[in-house]
Amino acid sequence: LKFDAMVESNPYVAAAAHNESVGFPGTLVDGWEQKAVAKMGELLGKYRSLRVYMDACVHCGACTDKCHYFIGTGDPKNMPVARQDLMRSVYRRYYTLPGKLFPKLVGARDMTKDVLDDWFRYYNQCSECRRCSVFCPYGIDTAEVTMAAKEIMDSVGHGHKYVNEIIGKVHKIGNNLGLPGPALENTLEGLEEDVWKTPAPRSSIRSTCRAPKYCWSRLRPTSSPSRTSTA
Amino acid sequence: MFREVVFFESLFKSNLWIWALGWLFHVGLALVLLRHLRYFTEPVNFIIAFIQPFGMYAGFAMAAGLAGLWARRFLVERIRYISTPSDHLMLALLLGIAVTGLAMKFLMHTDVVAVKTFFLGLMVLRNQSAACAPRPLPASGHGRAADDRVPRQQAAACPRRVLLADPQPGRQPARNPPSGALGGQNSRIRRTDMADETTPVAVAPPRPSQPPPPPSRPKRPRSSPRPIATSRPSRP
Repeated sequence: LKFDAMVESNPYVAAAAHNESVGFPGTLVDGWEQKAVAKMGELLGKYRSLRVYMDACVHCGACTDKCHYFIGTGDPKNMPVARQDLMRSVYRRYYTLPGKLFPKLVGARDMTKDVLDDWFRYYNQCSECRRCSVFCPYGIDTAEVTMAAKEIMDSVGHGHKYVNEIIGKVHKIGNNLGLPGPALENTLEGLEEDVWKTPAPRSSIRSTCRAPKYCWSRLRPTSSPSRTSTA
Repeated sequence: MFREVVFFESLFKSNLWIWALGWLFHVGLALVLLRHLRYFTEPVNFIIAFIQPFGMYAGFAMAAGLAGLWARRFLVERIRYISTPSDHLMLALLLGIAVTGLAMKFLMHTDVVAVKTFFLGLMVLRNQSAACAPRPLPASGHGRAADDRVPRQQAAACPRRVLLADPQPGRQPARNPPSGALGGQNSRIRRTDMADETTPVAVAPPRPSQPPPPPSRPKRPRSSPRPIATSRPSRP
């Protein structure tokens, strides 16, 4: 284990304009601690699975060495169970009796800026591939916990730049790369030109087409105006 | 689903150590729980009777599995990192159950006949008579003294009659020995918290051919209510 190996590599927080463009508060709102906890309660009520995942884990450790982000970084908080525990500790503090009475005993934590920073750092290092849930004896889906945490962070105005900015571009411009209309048009025209001009390597056409002659003629716009390929 | 629940398939694919220890513990616990059914049921199901010896090994398996799982929490760095005090507490409590259970068998033996009598009585909130003390198991030595005094069929039929139907008031108990006549092991079973010794203890004469009376509400006069057994029988 390499403790805090990934502490320095913080993801970028989305700019206010990008957060607002997808309907979230621009910056971290006042009283975000209470709002985050309330949002968690809302999600727990809406998704029974999330509550089960929060409650069911017994820390058996079967998932600990299954996450490639943990294997790659060695940061213990990238172990799926530890990643979930970032949220589970808050869940226990506010939504379970033992966590309210004996927070130390069950590892419960208050919702603080440190906790939020940990959430932002480590939940955004999860690509929601669900490899860990394959190995979990309870079938706990870390991806769903990650989704919930990201939703909570968004709802208090602490979104990820490369998520919210891109979705904002999709809504505003029409594509995820943010290419303006004329630029996209030009790109596609160039691509079309390349497709018709470049002779395809013969071997590849032959190997993929049952009747090479026919296919080849179909690919030429001059001989065949209908551009449907049989390949 | 069946494989997942019974054999912990994904845990097997995930980590052999956790699977081996965890499965050992869970199967051990299941067998031990089933084995304990004999203290709460009469007659004892033949499956429960069959697994009795395996239940003993299961007790050790359960303790071994728990000890192994607990050792992991200290020895494996990853598991140590994710363990909270409550995880240790859970294992400590479960291990406590296993160890005290084994101690009751091998270190300080418990009078299981008295335990069973007590629990069968507790289930219907009524005292059981000593003569009807059910044998814990067929061919088990624990209830031998009771067997000598009560014929076999009667001993088998006895609890149901006692539990479901009271004898008619005024009827002379046929086989109720006078107080103090019971000796040996049965003096321990004999409860001191009976209301008084004149209360008729229900031991019907053996009528194996006749089915037990229907479970009707007893029409017992409330003149001499018997206390409800709520505590462990006091032992000398």
